[in-house]
Amino acid sequence: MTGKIILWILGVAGLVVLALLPLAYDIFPFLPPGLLNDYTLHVLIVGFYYAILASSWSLLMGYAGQFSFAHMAFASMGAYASGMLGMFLGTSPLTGIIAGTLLAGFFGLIIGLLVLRLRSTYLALFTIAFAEIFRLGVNAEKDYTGGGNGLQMDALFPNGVDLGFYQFDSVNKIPPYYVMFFLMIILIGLMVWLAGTRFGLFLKSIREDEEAAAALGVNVVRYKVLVFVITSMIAGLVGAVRGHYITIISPNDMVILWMSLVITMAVLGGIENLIAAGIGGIVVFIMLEFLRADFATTTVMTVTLTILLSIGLYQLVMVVARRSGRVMKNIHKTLAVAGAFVVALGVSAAIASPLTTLISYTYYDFSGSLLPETIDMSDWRLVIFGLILMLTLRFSQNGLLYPIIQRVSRTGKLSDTVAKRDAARAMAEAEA
Amino acid sequence: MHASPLLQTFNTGPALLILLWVIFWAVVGGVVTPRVYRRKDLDASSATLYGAVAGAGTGPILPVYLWVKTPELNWRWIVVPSALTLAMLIWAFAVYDPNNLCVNNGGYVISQISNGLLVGVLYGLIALGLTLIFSILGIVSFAHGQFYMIGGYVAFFVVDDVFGLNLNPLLGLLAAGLVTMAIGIVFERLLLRPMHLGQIERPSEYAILVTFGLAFFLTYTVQATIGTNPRKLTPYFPIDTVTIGPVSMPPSRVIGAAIGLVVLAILYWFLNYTWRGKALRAVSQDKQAAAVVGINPLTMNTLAFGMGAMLAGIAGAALVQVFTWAPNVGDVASARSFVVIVLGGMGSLIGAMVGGLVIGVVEALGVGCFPDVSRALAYQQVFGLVIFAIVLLLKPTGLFGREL
Repeated sequence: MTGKIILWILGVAGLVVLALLPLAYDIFPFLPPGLLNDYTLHVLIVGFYYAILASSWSLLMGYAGQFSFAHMAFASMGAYASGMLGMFLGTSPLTGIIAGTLLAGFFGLIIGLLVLRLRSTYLALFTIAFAEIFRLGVNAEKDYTGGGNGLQMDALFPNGVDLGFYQFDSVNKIPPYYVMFFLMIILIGLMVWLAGTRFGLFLKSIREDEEAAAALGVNVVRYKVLVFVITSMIAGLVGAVRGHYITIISPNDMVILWMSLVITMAVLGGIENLIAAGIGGIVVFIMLEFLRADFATTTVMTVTLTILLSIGLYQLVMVVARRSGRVMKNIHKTLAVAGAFVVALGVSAAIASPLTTLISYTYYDFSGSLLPETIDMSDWRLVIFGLILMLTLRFSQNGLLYPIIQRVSRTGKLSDTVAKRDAARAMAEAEA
Repeated sequence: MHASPLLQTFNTGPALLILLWVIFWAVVGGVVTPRVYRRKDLDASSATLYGAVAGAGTGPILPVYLWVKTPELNWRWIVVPSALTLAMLIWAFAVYDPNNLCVNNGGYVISQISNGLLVGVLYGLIALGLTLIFSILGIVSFAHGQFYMIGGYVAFFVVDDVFGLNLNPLLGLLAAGLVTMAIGIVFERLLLRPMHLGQIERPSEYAILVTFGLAFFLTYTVQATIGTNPRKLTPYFPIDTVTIGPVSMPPSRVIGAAIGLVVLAILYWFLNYTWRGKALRAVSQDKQAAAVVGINPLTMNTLAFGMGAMLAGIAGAALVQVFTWAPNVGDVASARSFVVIVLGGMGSLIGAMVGGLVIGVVEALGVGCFPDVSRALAYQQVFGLVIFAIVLLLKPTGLFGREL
């Protein structure tokens, strides 16, 4: 039981930290300035948004085995519905958000009824085509949607928030922070609860074997449509909230890239665990933001060399160990990984700078210009995540985070079992 | 708020009436016919399609005949009603927008159709690669459009005289085919073969996700290395615009279609007259039986994926002189090939070709005839999606598909 308790403590502690974060300077006045600013809050708000999206996508994909590539399209649909209602009818953001949620659910229902009676590949094919076409349609209908320039939306709280003792104006990040934070807790909590009920069990049975599930009396199509509608509505809801937070929605928010990133988040976190997928969403988004900058070419070279060298060294150690017939326990493997990493880091740090110069001169001979001093990572970070996505799928299908959670939740299990076994044996001996 | 740039008059009311009439009887035919056939214990597998088309084309007349007589449903009951349905839709359109070029200028329509057919050959070629992969490996590759995109870029950088190596166009085509084939083979060996060796849980989900990951990776690798500047080649060969009667065909499209036809001929020869081609077809028909007679299915998987990628790459090389190229052209190409293979029937080579031609014509006519010129091009894809939805509704196995 210890492992589960550790996880609970970690989870609650994490949530408490996130909940108190905007007040950090009020609670701990001694913290150095600059740690927390509007940008940090913004990254976290959008991170929560992606956490909800990744989590709901993994409910659809990891639990029910249904592919939707239209998740971002539904999110944008919610935002557009809310924004257009606000623009043409002057409705409040709350009405708009509800309408957006319902509209996303309605489209989810129609697509679900049309496609989900067929094999799951058809859903993937249809949703990717639908998402692409929805984007093009929004782009084309300039008179209603603002086309490529995007659609201005009201702020989430157009008049700010008045708490009596403190007033937040409409551009303050703290109210949207708490809205998105509690939305995340409520929605992911709801999905975790759903996944634990009969409904979740039916979904799993559908994923494992549709025919068998149908034979056992599960109304396969109904549950597939239901989960598709639910996840589409969640996407529409958070999409609308995010639109009101950013105060603009444009077709660029639903290019296939964002869908790829949501999938990456869910897969890296762990498709089969909603909370892991959600954490994956936050972590990946923070990393994406961190990498959206210029990095010195030497730094990039060092990091790349370190990764390549440590993988190579680790493999070398493993091959040598296998040749010499040693049994590698987990502790040995961990040591090998750590050792390989330290050695690789040292070697890379030593040779990165001269190697960069060498490559730069070679490049000069070839093209007549030196390598740039810094590299803009904003495209390369996506390449990196694409690569990580494929490698994770291949080598660790449960994601990168979920196995760790599983491992932690198992700590103490062994000694528990051994203790129970010993007790049982003692009982048996005493009886004998 | 909404203002049309030209002063146009649309007869929305009457056109809507005709359209509603067609849709109403199509729904009635599509819903009732399979029930009647099932009640009489007859084969109802395609009754939805036949009933819907009969209703759309002839109103209540043919559906009632079908319900009373319940004849065996063969091609006879689909060809004439389809033509009538088409006529009804054209009539509705002509009523709606009588000043449209498509209504009062036959030459324009034929031009659009021929242009659509020319591009359709290449749409078919892309989809052919996808359907080849599906029929051998049993997976849909979501990275197919990216191979098309890369093929176009390779050809651009080999052939272009300013940014590229300024070599012969044929070398460009060859390079496009070889590069995409190499990427396809490497990817298949590294990431798809474990699936067939049973090293992956839930292979069908893995296949979709990992090919999608490849698409993501390839798009942004290209974007990071060569940027997003739009590129376009001048036509490969300096020929004049081909004019036959009222029809004029731009040289780039004619060259593209010619390349497509040559590749098709080579593919036909390969699949029918070489050992490997026959082996491929054997595997697509029955994996186990093929393995029994000594065909290694793993080799065939690699070959099929490489060839599929190559076909997309060559199609890209042929179209880079027709369309403007950017790293995201692959997304649209993927979406279109999905429409094509579902329309033609998943795994059917002929179906992919016919589907490509149909989608080419539908897109050309759709864009050419769309009443609001300023938005026509943006809706190019939507016409395909409508077809997609109709196919899924009426006959999910497509035109030439086997039962799944």
